[in-house]
This record gives sequence, structure tokens and C-alpha cells, in this order.
Amino acid sequence: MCVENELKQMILNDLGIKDIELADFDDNMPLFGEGVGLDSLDAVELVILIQKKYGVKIETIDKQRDAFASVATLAEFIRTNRADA
Amino acid sequence: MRSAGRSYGTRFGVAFFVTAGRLIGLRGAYFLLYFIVPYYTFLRPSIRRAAFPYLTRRFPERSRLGLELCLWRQVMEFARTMVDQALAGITDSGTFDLLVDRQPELKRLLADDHGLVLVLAHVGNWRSLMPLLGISGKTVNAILHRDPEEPISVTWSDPRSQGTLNVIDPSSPFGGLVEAVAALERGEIVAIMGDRSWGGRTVGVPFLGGTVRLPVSPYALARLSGARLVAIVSTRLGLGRCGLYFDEILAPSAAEGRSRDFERMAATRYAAFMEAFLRRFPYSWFNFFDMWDGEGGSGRDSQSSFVPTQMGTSTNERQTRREGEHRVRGE
Repeated sequence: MCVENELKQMILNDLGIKDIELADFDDNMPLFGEGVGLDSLDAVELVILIQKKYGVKIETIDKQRDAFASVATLAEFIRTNRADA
Repeated sequence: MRSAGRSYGTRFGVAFFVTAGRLIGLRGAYFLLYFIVPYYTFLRPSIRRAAFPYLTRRFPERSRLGLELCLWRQVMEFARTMVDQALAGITDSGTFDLLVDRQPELKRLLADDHGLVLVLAHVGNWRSLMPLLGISGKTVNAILHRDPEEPISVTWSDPRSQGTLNVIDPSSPFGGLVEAVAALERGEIVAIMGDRSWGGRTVGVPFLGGTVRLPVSPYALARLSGARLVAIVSTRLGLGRCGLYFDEILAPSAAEGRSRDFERMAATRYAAFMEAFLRRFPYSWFNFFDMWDGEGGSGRDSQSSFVPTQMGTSTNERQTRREGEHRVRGE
């Protein structure tokens, strides 16, 4: 499964997002605000899940916050920074 | 429940009492309060409006006159605490003597290799906690709003402090929570207020005969990082003396399975801890706003300082998919 789909499954299943169906979940949909509607606690949970699954450690969000714009940007960030990259 | 976030006190007031304290001592500074507190108690409608929701719930049996007396004692306690903070521990003029309830247990918790989430409250002299926490030798990460108008800031000024104080700004992206979790995973301490929501997810819990909405972030931090979770407060016991009281809310094992019920359970226990504290120190409550406004309903959490600065700033509120929690869309 590609990283984009894995991330979508993670967001829908592990974060308990029920408002969006997988089929409607576009790679470029904003994760926060009017898009998927994640909040700061979801973001923290997502950071931990990414760390566990891909070995990408994020300790400060200042430099990486653009990566959290959408599934597409996050997947690209993971591909660039994952442990086996 | 969203805090009105108002500071009573000015830089001029702090400077006045620091000068007075140096010239005539702490007792003299306290004496001056008898000329100032009546104004705030009886002539400031905003303070009266803000204080009575708590007082009527804490003292339901009191007459109107009795409540006026309670208000006087509460405002006087608040003023004395402000003077304490201005004169000792915060400035370079001295430190508080802290009487620590169950000190060995607190030392054990502070020395634990796990991260530690300390849930504070706007009661008593909470600033006096900071130097004490520094004694642990660990870095203390305080998630605090930095109000430019705040007359008294939080600093390390106690020479006993060995740790480092790092203030995390909750208006930074994701409320600073990513940094907080990283700190907890390093075994550090994160101090966060548990009694006021500045936006973000909240949960309704029973408190003083009603329902209040408390922020879930302290408990989510513990759940996500496996950190210990301790409620801690400090209050004025007398001249230059503070008492510190704490309770471990839930052990890290309670978060296993990552159940979101953990957050509701932890917030309920925190509220129970606060009630027990207020039974003993009823005038140390310094949340001057109506926490019970709406009895835990939604609609007041829409202004969020947890809003990531460039990641959506819509403040349309929706009820979360998770039972009992409320969140701000776009937080």
C-alpha cells in the first residue's frame, strides 16, 4: 500500500475520523480547518503514529508544519525522512 | 468553558508593592491592602459578577451577607497572594518556604524516569511551584500563555532550582503539544493548567454541584506519551509560607489501550482533587469567571489560541465524533 493510503487509513481508523469516507478522502484535502478537520491533539497523535510506523521523529513542529498541510505533503515528508530512505 | 483570561493587577501595582515591601516589609504591604481590597470587593461590579458563581456553589448555605464576607476573604487572599508573588520567589527578593504534603512521594514522582505531566490550577500561589519543580534537576516545560500585560512573569528565581525552565507557547502550531510530547518522551516535566480552556477539546465533568468543561490536553499528553499524571497546587499558608498539595490522578498503566475514556476519567479525578482542595482552602480559588456558564454545554470554546498559525483558522465549532468531548474545528 502506498504511503498516502496508509496515512488515510491511519487518520480514519486510528484518529477515529468518521465524517469522511476513504473514497472521498483526496490526497490534497487540507488536514486541518475546513478539510479533514483534525485538531492539535489529532496532530500529536499523528506525529506519534508516524514515528512508530515510519521511524520519522518529529520533536518540533515549527520547521515541519508545512508537511502537515495534506496527506500528499505528509507522504512526501515521510518518504524524504524515513529511516530507510 | 473558556476563560475570560483577565488579569487583575497592573505593573504599577506590582512595582508599588515591591517598593512598599522593601520599605515596610511584608506585614506592612499586607496592611496597605486594607485600603485597596474594599474597592475591588465592593465597588468593582466586574469582580463581583465574576466571583459569585463560585462562591454561591462553594457556600450554598450562606446568606447574602455571608457571601459578601466570603467575597471579602477571597479577594483579600488573592491580593495577599499577588503581593507574595511580587515580593518573593518571583522577584530576586527572596523565596517561599514551602510545606510539602507527602514530600517523599513527590520526590519519588519527580525522580521517576517517565515523563511527568503536572496539572496546575489558578488557585493559591501557583507560581511558587516553579522553583520547587526546578529542584528536581529536570527540565520543566511550562505550557503558558505569555500575556504582555501580565504584571508578574514566571521565571526561575529560586537559587535552589537546578533544572531548566522552558516556556512552551500554546499559540504556536498545534498548541505546542508536539514539543510537549517530545519532552515527556525524554523524561522531562510538562506543567499545564487544567482548569481553564483557551479553546480546543474539552470534556464536561462534575464540579461543585454542577458541570464544567475542562481541557483534555493534559490527559491526552499523558495518554499519548505514557507519562505520569499529577495534579498539583500550592497555596498561601501564612507570611512567606506556602503549602503544596498533589495527587497522582492516574497511573500510566490506566492509559493502556489508548482509550479516550482515560481523558474523561482523568479530568473527573482532577476536578475531585480540586474540590477536596477547595473544601480545605475555599478562598484560594482565583478563577474569576463563571465556569458553570452553560453547565458544560458547547458554544464557548470557539476562540482558540491552540489554532495552528498557518493550518486553518476556522473557528466554527462542531460537536466531536467522540462522545462527550467538544472540539473546535480547525484547531
